[in-house]
Amino acid sequence: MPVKYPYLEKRSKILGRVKRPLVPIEIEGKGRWIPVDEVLVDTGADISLLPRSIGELAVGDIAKGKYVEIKGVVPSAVLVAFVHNMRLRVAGRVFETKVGIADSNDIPPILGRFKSLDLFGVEFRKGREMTFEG
Amino acid sequence: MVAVAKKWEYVIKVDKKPVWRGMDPKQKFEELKRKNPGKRVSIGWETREDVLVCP
Repeated sequence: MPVKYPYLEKRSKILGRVKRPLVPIEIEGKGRWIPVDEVLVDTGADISLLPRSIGELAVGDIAKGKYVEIKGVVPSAVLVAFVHNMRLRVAGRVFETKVGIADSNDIPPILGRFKSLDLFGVEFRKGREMTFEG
Repeated sequence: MVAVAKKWEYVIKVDKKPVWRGMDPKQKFEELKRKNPGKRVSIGWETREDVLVCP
């Protein structure tokens, strides 16, 4: 059954108001599910990503994951992250995937494509809402 | 040393109501989980209004 999420409106000093495709998810770690609010749905991201402190709540020592360097739009910056196998719950569906946990708190939680968004049919409707199906 | 302005913060909510904001959420999250059995304790990340998000 499709699950709809309205875009969430935020105030912006540059744009006035900005609507972002943000969804709630849950991540499994240490034998429990941790709800994570306002995760950015980013079809441009190869992999899902968590900021350091949220990752540590789930896995403890993030450096036990596989070292990876992640490149975004900032020309000079490379983000170091550690990739972990994790279970996520998104739109009522539980699945295992690889998640990068950043060695930084200065990044938003991101729901990326690999074995995450690619598991769903996701429709973005006119900057107002998303529908997850599958 | 030049102080760098805080551009982001974590937000912890209990049953969707924000109860804590700050930069080091781990201890607080565990504390709020313990103090609120049966309630939904969630964590999020927010930017300041002068920041645009382009990952």
